[in-house]
Amino acid sequence: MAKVRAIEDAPVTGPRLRASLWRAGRVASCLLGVALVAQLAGCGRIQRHSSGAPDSFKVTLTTEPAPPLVGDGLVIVTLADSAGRPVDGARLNLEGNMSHAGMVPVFEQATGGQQGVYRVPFQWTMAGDWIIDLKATLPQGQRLDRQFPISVLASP
Amino acid sequence: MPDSVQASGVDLIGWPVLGRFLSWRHARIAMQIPVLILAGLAIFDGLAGPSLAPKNFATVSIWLHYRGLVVLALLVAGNLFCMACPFMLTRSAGRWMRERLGGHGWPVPAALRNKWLAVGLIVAFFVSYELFSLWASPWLTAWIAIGYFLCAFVVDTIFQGAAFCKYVCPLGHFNFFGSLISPLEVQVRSQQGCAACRTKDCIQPLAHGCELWLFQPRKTGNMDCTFCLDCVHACPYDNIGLIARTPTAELWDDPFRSGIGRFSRRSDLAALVAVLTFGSFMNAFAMIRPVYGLRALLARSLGTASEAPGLLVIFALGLVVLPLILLTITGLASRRLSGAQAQPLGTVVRRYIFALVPLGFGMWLAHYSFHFLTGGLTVVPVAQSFLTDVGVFAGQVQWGLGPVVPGEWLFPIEAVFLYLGGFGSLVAAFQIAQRSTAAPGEGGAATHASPMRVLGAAAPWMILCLFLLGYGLWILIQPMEMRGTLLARPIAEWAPLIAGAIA
Repeated sequence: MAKVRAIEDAPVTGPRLRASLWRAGRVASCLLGVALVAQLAGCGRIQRHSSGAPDSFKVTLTTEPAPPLVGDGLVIVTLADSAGRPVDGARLNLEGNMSHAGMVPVFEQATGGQQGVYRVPFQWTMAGDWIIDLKATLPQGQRLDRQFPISVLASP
Repeated sequence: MPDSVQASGVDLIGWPVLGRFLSWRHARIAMQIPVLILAGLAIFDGLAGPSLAPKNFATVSIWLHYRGLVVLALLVAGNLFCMACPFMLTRSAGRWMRERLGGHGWPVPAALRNKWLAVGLIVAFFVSYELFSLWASPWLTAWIAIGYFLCAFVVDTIFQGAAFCKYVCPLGHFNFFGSLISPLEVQVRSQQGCAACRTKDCIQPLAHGCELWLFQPRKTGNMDCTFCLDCVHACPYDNIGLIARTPTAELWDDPFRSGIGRFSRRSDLAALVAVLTFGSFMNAFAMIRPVYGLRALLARSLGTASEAPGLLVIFALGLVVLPLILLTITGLASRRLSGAQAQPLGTVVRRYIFALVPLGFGMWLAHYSFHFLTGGLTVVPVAQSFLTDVGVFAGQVQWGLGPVVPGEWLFPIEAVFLYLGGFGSLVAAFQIAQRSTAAPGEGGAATHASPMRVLGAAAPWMILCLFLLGYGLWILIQPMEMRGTLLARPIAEWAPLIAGAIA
């Protein structure tokens, strides 16, 4: 009994202290990890597949040449409202990404438009599958967001 | 290694700072925790982040950085990823749970104590990678990582030892394959030190010795070694080091290897080498333009709109039929030209196939380093974008960052890696032939065969290596077209697509 009392009363030092701190550290790390995940889960990083409210504008995208070839080309965006009236004066931001990680995106911008048609020079840096992310800011301030898949060829 | 032999290479565990760190009992967990955090961030971003692969931390970190860094690490050091493997941390949780429930784990069934399951999983991965365009899907990439964690947890909770590492993990088996040419090896410093040892702590479970059952005094080479350094920490005589060696030299001989046996008697290991060697060429071939036309042609020929059957045909040809034909022809020629017709063909192929390891690794190195060097810096804008979304970063995201080296450097670098691999394979073929054709002489010293006989044995394998080298260079010269057919699809669309691909 005296030996047990001695063990109970003994201060926690040396290896026992280190082991205790190690256990506490692991528990604290787990709790921190849970807190971090909870923080991340509530943040703006969570993307929705469809961004923004649905709108009634008609947006089409074609290329010149069609299908596009590696190198310099043209992206032709047509913008019209729900009644089919062309929309001029919008500011377009195009971002082209390929399907594989590691490819540097291609950014282009355009303004003006004639009869709702915007011709944007665009450089296709590699053959393969692209996604063109089009963000348009209309003269009235409304924002549109569209995505267009494009397949680029190496040669005709 | 004879009892009197002392390991003569540089020993990293003897170095002042690095050696002290590696000798520290908690060195492995200190490396695993940061990798676990990165894996957790990758999984989170893969499930919840942008659906475009170039903008998602999961796809960028795994398909670019992990693959590129793991092959570079294997080239300059050894199996560093297995050393820092985060899957082992969840495994520890499973074991803790098992011990609390009073269990001790089951021994792995005899039928599974081989590499066939790992080979099958590697083939399945190669096919799935192309079929589902895994490189283009952050969501699927995240689920692959989750699957690895779950599988390690389940397998190592149920079975004893490091069953997941030794018999299951496809990533680990790729690392075992690559580490066969690595310049570092975990090995004993002095056989005399082991001769005096009575406790054999390096392999004792209670002493936290090797869980892959590699008994250090009889361990040869890096196959099945995860560089976990459990043996280093368990050895009471500080007699195990991380020692430099001649790269590829372990392929030349065929000794009995602890926990493995002889390479020449392991058909499963030969299959592993074949799949990873020929798979390196298939994986690169699948990213160049000719394959898309071939897939479309096969789809039309098979009368289907789906490209999946054509893809399966291509992989069956590239991973099974063609390797079987090439290895059979090469083995028959080698046997005939060396005058060893009495030797079973299987034995010849199992012995010489290891000569292909340097070339196969060279092709992986060329391919993965291409992706890493063309887009390694994209991790900066992806990380900036991530931090912007969580409210930590407010600056301009540098989306223009991408290549690590100028574009005109890429092919020369790839070619150097492939030529290095080819050279290593030519040397290995010759060295294997020299040892295989030697006859046992008096007093244990081997009598070398005539130079013509050695050349006859080696030449067919050297020609095969040159053929594959040329094929690899042709692939690297082709313009790449990266296609991802399942981009940014809502989850509800996946099931019919996957069902259609399988049908």
